[in-house]
Amino acid sequence: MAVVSNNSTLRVWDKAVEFTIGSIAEQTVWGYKMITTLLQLLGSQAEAAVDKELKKRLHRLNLKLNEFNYDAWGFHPEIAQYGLTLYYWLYKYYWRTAVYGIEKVPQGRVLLIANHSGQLPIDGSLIFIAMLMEAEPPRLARAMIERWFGRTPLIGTFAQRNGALLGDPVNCERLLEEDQCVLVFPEGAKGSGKLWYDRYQLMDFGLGFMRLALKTHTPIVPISVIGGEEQAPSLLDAKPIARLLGMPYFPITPTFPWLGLLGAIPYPTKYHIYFGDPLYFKGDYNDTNEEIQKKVDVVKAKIYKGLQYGLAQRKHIFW
Amino acid sequence: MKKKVLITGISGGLAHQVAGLVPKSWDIVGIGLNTLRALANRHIHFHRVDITKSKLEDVFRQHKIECVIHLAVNDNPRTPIRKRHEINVIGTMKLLDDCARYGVKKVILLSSATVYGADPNNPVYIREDFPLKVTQRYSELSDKVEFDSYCRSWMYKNADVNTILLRPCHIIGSQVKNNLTSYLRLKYIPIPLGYDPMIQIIHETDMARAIIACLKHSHSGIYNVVGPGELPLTEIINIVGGVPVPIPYTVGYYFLKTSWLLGIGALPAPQLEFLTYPCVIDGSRFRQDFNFEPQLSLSDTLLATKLY
Repeated sequence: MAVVSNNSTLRVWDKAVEFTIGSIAEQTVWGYKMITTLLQLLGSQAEAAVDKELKKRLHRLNLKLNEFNYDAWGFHPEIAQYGLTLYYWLYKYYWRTAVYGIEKVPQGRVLLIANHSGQLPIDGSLIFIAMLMEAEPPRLARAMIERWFGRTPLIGTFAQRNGALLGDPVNCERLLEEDQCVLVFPEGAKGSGKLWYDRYQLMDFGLGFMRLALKTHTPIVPISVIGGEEQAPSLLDAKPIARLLGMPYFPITPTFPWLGLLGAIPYPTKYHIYFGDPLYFKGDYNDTNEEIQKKVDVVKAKIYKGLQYGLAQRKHIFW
Repeated sequence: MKKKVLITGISGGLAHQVAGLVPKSWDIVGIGLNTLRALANRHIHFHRVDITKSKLEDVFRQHKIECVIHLAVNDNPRTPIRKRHEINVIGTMKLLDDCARYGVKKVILLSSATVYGADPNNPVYIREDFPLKVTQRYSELSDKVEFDSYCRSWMYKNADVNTILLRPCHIIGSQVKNNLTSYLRLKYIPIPLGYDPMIQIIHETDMARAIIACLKHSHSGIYNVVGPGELPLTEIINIVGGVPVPIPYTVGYYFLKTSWLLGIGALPAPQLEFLTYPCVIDGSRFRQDFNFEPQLSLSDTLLATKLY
């Protein structure tokens, strides 16, 4: 940033804004007071609504917070607790998530690798809640998210305050060096945006996560998520509309966009999340793509096996 | 005889602070265009010299300069780019030329973290080897990038000179007038709707301490300098006590552009990028190599903007 205008220009600016916005604010002073009182009331209600167990577990997280309670990556437990309470409620009562084998996740640095599905990244949030509420001790699973989020107002900031991060290898490597838990969907948008026809098929995995795991000596936990494909079955990907809106894909489901935004609400399928045994890989992280691909295929096979097992075990989509 | 340190742009606020902290074992030679504000307990050999003029060499002829701290940088976006380029790039070239010719042993240069540019695809922590991308979105800052690049190439060419190129985050202080402090001193502060990037700040006193730390250690290289930490923009506005006015990005961009052209704008429109997207740097290398620890906390640093 650079040297700029003197104080008189600042005063002109303030007067200009005061003239346009300030006068409106003063005229509607009653409305403004009502809104603030309402917000305060809501705030106190929200404070009471925060799940007690969740609050306790957030306190048990081993976070380095600054004097304003932000951690270095933009996560703020007191802001996150409201959104997470809502997610925890959905996790328990809406998707009735069943988690298997979460005790296999080792302490220290770890990469969680999962299959991606369901148009909306619900699977990421459910794994996040599972790691927070069911793992012992609780862990903060940092999700590596799509670049699209960073460009999008509101959603990007919301994701950051709730512990997610831009999926950049530099970020991931640093987190692993700090012995954190990182959640990666190596299929990316190809996985979450796939059609009903391809359900429970694995798309191509990126190789970056394996190179990082080799470089930082990080164990990999394969995760198979079941239930995501049925929450929003995409019959068609309307690519021109996606391009127009700058989105990775634009699904046409039985309800979306026919019912508008209501149609975008995912269906209450039952989620099953299977955690696999941790995999330890050794080798040169600068190896050729073919060598890295072999190791990635091992992870992919584990996830696929988990999916097949879970699907065989599942009695019904909704319960 | 005492060793001599040359401080360019001595009349500036930061240079004034640096001069006050220079150890007693050094003699201070200062050059600048404006009248020197006297220091209570230090004598400064002051020369009214323009660094873009060849008269600059007289200073090197007259004094045996051991170290140069180059702070004569024009950052005012109201200054036409032609003039800024003359001061920031041509002036620096002349100065570094003289440094090489007169056997200066140490050069401390001040760039800025803005050269990395604010971008939604930036990693959370930018290291020193990251590309300088600011001109992709903000071509008016090309002089800053050129300054940085020239200093880097000079550093490699003159490897025997102990050169330190600093890229600090936003400098804040009661005396400092820059885009961020002017912005935070507004009563109604426009913010881009739905974006809330992390912003790093360092107090001018801490920055002066960082420059003095460079004087004491002999590492060469490029270093990011950060203060006590980072905070989201809205939180910063709450602390300094402004009223945030959320405006959709595109509307805000043209609003700023128009008000800037009319002369009442607080900052040029492309600066909105820095309030929208992250440009967070990693200053751990500097902390380690120069044993530097900022003394002021986040809240003390922020409250300093209001005391002007």
